[in-house]
Amino acid sequence: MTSEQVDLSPSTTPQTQRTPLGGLWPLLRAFLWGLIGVAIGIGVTVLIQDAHHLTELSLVMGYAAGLVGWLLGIGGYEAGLKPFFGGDNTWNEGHGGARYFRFNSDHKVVGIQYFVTAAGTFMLAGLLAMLMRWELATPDLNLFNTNLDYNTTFSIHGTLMLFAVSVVGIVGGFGNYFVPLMLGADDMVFPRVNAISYWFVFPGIAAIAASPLIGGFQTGWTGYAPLSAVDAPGQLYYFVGVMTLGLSSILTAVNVVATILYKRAPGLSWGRLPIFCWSMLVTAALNLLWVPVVATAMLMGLLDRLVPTNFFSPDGIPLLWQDLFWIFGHPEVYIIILAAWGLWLEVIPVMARKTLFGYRWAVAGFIFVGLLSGLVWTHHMFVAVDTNRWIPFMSTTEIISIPTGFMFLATVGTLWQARIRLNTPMLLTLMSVLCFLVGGVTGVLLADVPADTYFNDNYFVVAHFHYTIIGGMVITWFAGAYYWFPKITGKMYNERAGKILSWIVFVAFNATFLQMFVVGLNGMNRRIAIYPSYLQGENLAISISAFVLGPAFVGLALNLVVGAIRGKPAPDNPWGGKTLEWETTSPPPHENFSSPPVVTTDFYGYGEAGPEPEILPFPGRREERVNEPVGRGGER
Amino acid sequence: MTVQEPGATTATPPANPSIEVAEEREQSYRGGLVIFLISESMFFVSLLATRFVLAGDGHPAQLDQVLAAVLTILMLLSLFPATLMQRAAQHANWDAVRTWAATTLGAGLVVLAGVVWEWATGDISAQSRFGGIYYLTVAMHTLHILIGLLLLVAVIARVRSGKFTRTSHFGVEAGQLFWYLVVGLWVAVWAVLYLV
Repeated sequence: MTSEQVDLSPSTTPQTQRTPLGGLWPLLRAFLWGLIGVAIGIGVTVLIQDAHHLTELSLVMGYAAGLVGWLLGIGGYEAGLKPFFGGDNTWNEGHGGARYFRFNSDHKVVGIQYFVTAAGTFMLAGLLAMLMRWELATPDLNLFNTNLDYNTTFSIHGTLMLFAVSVVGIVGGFGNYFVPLMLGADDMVFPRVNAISYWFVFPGIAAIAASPLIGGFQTGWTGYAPLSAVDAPGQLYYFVGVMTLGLSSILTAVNVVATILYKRAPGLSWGRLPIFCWSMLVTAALNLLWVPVVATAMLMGLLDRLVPTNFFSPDGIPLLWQDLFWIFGHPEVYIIILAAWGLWLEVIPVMARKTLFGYRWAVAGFIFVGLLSGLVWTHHMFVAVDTNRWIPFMSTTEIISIPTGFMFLATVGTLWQARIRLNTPMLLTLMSVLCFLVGGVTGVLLADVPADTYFNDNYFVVAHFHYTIIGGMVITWFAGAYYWFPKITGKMYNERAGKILSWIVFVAFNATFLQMFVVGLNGMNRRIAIYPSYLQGENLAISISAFVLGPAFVGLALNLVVGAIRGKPAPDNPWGGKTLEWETTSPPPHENFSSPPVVTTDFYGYGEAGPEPEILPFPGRREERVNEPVGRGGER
Repeated sequence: MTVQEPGATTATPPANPSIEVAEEREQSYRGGLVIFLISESMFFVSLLATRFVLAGDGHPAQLDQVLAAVLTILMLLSLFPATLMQRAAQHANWDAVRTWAATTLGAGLVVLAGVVWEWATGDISAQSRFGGIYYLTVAMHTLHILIGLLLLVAVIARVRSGKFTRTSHFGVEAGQLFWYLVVGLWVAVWAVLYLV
């Protein structure tokens, strides 16, 4: 296959000219086959059950059959099923822009697919948040007609944000795109598994977003039993949607671990592994271990509705749902944040032109956070459990801040006495470090049981996790998007607009969520549409700030879209980064490197610790650097 | 410098690069599959742990211990044809691969029939605490049996189409390793549900 740049012009190969809609035919076929699957699933089930209406079981069977149809239609049939049974892989992976709308096994395409889908879902779930803030601007119901409507809205908001945005944006988007590049590999170990893992995401999101059509659900993203068993039928699509998205995570994680283990370039020893790859490795390990546990929980919750069984009913153990969910749920938040931490430690040495401080401490921090993450879960349910669980879990929760500290040590140590180039990626990274610090410190507070008995299900908790997730993951996600934008698109974004929009986001974000700590301290409950009127002033202030934050996020993202369309051509290594992705063209060719790189030193030494790399010429290389630092970079 | 010009290394090039590359690739496939199988096992770790949390130890008398013991022995015996299948592939003896794959498939189908029989004639209520986790665990395992059987069918089909070579036959190894997982999980499930 020849090298190709990202090309958004319509494809003109004879193959696609013959099919309807050209490049979009696989997508249409996926919808068609998916709908046929849904119809067959519902029809057959209703027939067997001898019912005269849609039953809950038929909705689930319809979804499952529809999912199979969708995956086959998008290319799984020719690329997966036929070769599986001895046929040939006749799938056309497309050219140019058409590649992104079908089964495509290039990890760079898959990364962009995940990234754009997560970004779109972020906007959708963010819109729901705007609706929630509009509702909360007054103490009584104003926008929504019933509590069910409001409750369904925040449930969908949370479920999409947690399962389809925050674990997909960096891990699925940048992980897929850059892990093979940073390792000097040509692709992941299982490119076709990678390709199909992306196409699980749409049905999962569609199911969750469509749950209002079958009645909505009120449990929030945590799906607590017994409410999940007895309440509105939309809960069904919560269960199956989360299971689908979880399956996608597992498949991606297998690829990430296998690629890091087996496809490192010659000379890329474990001691030289890029810090982002270390964080991706721990993230993938957590995914592999804990997502099956939540899938089991979701399955049991589903069966409690469908059979019905008595896993979490009053005849079973209702608290068991919370244990199973949070045994996964706490590692989940580390799955969200670890890759972001890795990204901090990629951007900061490059932009500060200073040797990464404490590489081994940071790696140890990631590993120990991963190990400890499975031991702290009860802090999400202190008020529901026996008191003899309090002390052990309060202890482990406080202790997990120590390895987190190792990672902060590396961050601060690298920034110490450095000459920082405050461009948009660096600005966003530093903002993220600060916001995550606020979130993390309030977490230490929440780990304290006496405090937690007041704060449980309170807006203080909501503010805490928005600080850690938006502050930690989302802002870093934007930072990574700006950092890697020239590499992915070969163009440069508007730096000034980027900085201004970043500041607007930062101010609006802090205005919204700092006030949320206050309204929580004053007694505001979470997950309610109707609240005591004395809290209205503060809620109104939060809503107004949120109405600035939403458009600010949109603007920060649009700046990248505009840059992709109209930006100036960017050099291959505008920041002077040393990791392997900067040693190839922008954007990289299909095979990533024109010849496999051989690594001889680590990637994070600057000044005396690592002289500037002698970049050898390769075909098509463009030379200048953007944002050259004034004066020499840092010494050790 | 971080990156050296390729070709300017001190290592000598391998004698037969394409075999080395093929071996490395098969090694990465094997490693990746094992990682996936470990993840699959976590489903059963949570299911089996839940069995104890929900239903303690002890099991109802209605469980057909004889049938379960027979099926367990059959499962363990099926490890032999599965292993022989992979050995035959290493010697490029494709007819033997087909035979052993079909044998393993046959054993798996008998086990499947046994499970269906137990469910149809058994007397355990899905509403009971033990019953709920029993049916769910066995159902999950049966799903894995079905996937394992599909992989064996795929081996047979791919041998028929001549897709395997002496150096590149990971599909056979995948069938073998997945079947090992199925049998291993069966023994664990049997022990936790029937023996304890």
